[in-house]
Amino acid sequence: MIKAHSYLQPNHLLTHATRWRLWIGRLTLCLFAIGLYLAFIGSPPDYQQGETVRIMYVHVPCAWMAMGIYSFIAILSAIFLIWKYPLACILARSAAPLGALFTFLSLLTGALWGKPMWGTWWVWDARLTSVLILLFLYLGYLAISEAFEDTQTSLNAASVLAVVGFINVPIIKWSVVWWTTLHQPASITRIAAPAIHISMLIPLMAMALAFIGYFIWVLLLRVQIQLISAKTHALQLKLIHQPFKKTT
Amino acid sequence: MKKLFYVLWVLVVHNFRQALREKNEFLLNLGFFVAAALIFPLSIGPEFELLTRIGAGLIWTLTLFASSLSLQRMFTADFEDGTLEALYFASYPLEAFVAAKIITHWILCSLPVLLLVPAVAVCLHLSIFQIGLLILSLSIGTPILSFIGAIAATLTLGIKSNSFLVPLLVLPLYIPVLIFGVNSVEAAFLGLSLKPYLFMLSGLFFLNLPLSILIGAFNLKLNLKSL
Repeated sequence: MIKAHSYLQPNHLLTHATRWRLWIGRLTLCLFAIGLYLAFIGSPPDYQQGETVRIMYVHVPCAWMAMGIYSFIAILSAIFLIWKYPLACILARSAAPLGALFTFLSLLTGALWGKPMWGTWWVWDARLTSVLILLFLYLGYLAISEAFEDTQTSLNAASVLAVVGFINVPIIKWSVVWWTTLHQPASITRIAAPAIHISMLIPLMAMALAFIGYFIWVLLLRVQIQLISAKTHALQLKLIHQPFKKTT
Repeated sequence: MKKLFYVLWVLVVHNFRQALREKNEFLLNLGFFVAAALIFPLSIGPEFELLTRIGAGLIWTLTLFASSLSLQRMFTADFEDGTLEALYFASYPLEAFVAAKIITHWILCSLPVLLLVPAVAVCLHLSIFQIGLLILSLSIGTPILSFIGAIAATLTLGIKSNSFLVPLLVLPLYIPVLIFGVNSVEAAFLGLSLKPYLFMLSGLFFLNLPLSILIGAFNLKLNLKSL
């Protein structure tokens, strides 16, 4: 019987990743098919926003992913700094470009929605600004994780930055409550019943699940590439340092 | 405890000597602040109301940039000439070193600017009341800038070309300080209570004070180990 924690060893992950990736990829494609159908055809237009509400089915999951991935990176970085567990850092580093992408997409879709609804592409609203800061944190993390000559130092420094920048995530989450500016407050994660009709909640959830599936799919792929290239590098070094042997 | 303060004092004196050897470092900050503040009215127009309206935010922004200008060089001299290494291997508390650097950075880069703020603010037609509040919020806020700056400066110490990285790392973390600092002046200007903003600013101060020293020392060890 295989113990659960053995899956956390890089070698074990490497042997299983391809199989998992296949299934997660299929699941993600199905979820995208369902989600996109429901979002664009199967759900009613909003009584106030009209057809533009459909942007929300992409915008909201993107924003969730942007914050979720940052939390993921920060927690893994803390694990890496405390327990020196190498896979945590590789996972965090591989997740960062995806997080930056989702942050950028949520800002972009937000601007596209804001133009017809608010009458402007951009406002200096608390939530918009704090998400922009999140994008800069992602960029800083990516820049510093490549900056040092020594890879280990880069990863350490990037992990410190990720943990320090985590302070921004609760600020984003509650910015709409603390500063009552233009962006509307949360309508799903409330203690009372969600302030969203079930016909819109289902496509939103399907899209959110599809995005999570996509994230895990690509993350596994990136981690696999990282691990394989590290292995190749180690083998190359071994080959170079091997004493010369004559082959017949 | 007494010994720790002695170490801190020695390090601060060392930092001062080093900074006075290269005078242009903190004169650069001061020059930037004054020049930028005086050029602004020329570019946006000299109307009284306009300058009174944006003056506080303008001075806060310029103070922030003046403080961040010299961050890259905060630790490099001691890192390159081996002082840091010597301290590390003599098992000196690096926390004390970071604290001393923060104190020196604040005194050399923010205090002169702070002393010049009244003069610049008068040129921007701010009222006496606004100037008082500005100085109050700046004197709580500028140490926070040095704290956060120390984290970024220690983090990027081992990088050859860190000139663009430091601002990129520091600006997102500066923004809350800027918002609460400017809003405290604005709120009082609009007749609202400025207490919440000043409390938040003080909260940030006491949050960043221990964190910057601990994280800064951690970063220094990280950089020294990779040598």
